[in-house]
Amino acid sequence: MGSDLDEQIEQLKRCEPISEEQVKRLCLKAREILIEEANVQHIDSPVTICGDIHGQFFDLMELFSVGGFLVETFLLLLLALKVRYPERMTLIRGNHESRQITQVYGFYDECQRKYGGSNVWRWCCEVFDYLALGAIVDGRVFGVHGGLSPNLHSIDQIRTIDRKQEVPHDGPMCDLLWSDPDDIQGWGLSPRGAGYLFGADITKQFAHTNALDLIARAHQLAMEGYKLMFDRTIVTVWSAPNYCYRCGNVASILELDEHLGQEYKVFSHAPLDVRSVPAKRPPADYFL
Amino acid sequence: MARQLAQLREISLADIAALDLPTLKIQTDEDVEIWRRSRSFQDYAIFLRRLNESVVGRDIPTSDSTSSEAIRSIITLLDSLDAWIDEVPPQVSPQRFGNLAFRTWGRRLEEESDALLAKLLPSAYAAVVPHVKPYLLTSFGSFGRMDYGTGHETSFALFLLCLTLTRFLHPVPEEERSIVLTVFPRYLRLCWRLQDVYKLEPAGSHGVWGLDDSSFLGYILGSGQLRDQTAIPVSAVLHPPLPDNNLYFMSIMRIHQVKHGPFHEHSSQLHSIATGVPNWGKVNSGLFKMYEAEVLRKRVVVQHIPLGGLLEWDSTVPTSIEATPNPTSTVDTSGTTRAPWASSSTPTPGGSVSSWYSNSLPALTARRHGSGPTQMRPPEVPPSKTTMGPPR
Repeated sequence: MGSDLDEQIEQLKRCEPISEEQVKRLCLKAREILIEEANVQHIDSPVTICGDIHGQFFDLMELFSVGGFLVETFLLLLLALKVRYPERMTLIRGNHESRQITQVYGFYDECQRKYGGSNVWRWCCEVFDYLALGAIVDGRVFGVHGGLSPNLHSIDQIRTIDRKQEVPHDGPMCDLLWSDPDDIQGWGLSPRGAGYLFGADITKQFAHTNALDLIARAHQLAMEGYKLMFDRTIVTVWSAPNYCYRCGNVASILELDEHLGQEYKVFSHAPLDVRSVPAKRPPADYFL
Repeated sequence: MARQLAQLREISLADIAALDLPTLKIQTDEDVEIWRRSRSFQDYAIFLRRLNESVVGRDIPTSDSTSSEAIRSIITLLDSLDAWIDEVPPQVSPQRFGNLAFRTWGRRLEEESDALLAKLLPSAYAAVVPHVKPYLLTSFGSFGRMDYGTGHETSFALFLLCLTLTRFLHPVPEEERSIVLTVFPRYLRLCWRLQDVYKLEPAGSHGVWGLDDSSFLGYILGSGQLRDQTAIPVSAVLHPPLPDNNLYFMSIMRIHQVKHGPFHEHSSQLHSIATGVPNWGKVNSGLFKMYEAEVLRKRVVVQHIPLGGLLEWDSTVPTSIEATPNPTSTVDTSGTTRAPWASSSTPTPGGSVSSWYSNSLPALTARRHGSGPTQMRPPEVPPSKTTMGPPR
């Protein structure tokens, strides 16, 4: 698959779609790799941590060069890179990597329009079910998409979750993907309707119990690209610049060096000249 | 060109006292089917079709010159609501989305809606007030979730429908034209101001794969305005600035105001329409189909619409139609995603469309439609851990 895969990676980097058959094989291969990974993957420093991209394809390319909203091409590129370089890249699951959410926020629509059916969407969702729930760098920096759960006091407890399923509506697995830190004491209800809000006390306790320096998470827009909270025990890393074309925010990635020193690299949206040329895509069937 | 248009029925004021008040009726996908075959759905279809026909070949007037007293009083009502924004300034807050002052504005609407409606309507319409109030209250966004979307826009249109069924507004071309070209632009401007001042999130946006983050009717009615001419091609929308004499153009310019980046990226549907649909007639009929499929038949949108009473909740045909699996959803695009099972709006791609986009009588027929996108159904009972607080 090697050179074949390199070719696909090049194709995807140019934002050109690969065939349905290629997607299928890629997803199967990705699943084989992911199934072997732990719920919380161990990673050695140095490492670069990215937060939400929200499928902003051209900004991802910008992100790669620092360190569109074409979710599907973008996702396939990440999967292709993962399959090509499994040891050099760790993908962890976010709240959007679920069947329900992808049907709501456009990924399903995109797969339908590009491939004329739901196969690609289905295969991708099957891959999502195998994504790790978190990662831990040198045993001291815990990476997770959303945040903590009242049902989880230790990272070891996360290891006992059966993660190979659609993201549940509640419970520890849901909380890891949906919760947010907030300026409250203890736990609070989340306005998102899933996960919880958790305060500085909870965060510090979790960090202490698990001997962590830092919890790195994403899930919330940070206008400055990242936001440290609670005496630097937790950071939000947001990697989608000018989110939804509306927010005018910058984005960041977090580089951890071999001593776990933190460097936040801030970047803004990709310049117009490297972006896509308008694809000649037929209008939806309503207009035939 | 003359088209045969169905008449909109009239509900006599004498009959209103005997009607039930509207309440939330739609809970399941089966209920959506009942709604789709209900008389109120048919009334709404006729209403929109008539509004559309009334403005073919017409521009938005440069001055508010309507001879209708009823239209003028609706404008006055919208002006008052707009003035409240000045009286309820946004709170100084680190929250980037959903300023809590919107709830204060909303509370005022709830408290004063009876008085507003009493002022709007003649005294003979006293019994109508409790029937139209639920639609007015949900026309400007959700005060709980602090968002705004096509469901709220639909509520406002249903408010106008109720006023027309009871003949406060009259279903004659001149008045219908004023509804579209005078009332609706005023409503849109009010909603845009609410969205900007109180930083409301788009409700139920499909991101770049939807038509627009928050509204739909402006595109339908604006394409209706341009339907029978060829001097302005469909692709003209790709070359802003666009004149404000047309609702489609206004809507596009609004996007340019709030979004930055290549148009074909952030508004791919509108871009595809502009480059791939040959004429405005096709745009217009396509948008009617799309509105039905992606707004009126989405449970997560229409579950918030109160029904019963003026907008009859009854089944005009037997209810033995298979339901379309329908993923639940909500809203996003601003920094926080909410769980779909927590509240409002969604896609079910595919699915057929009833006949109301056709250019003649909207005959309502029971019709089977294609199954939804997936084999998966959302859980019937959402987890109830949801007091909707402010999104951040």
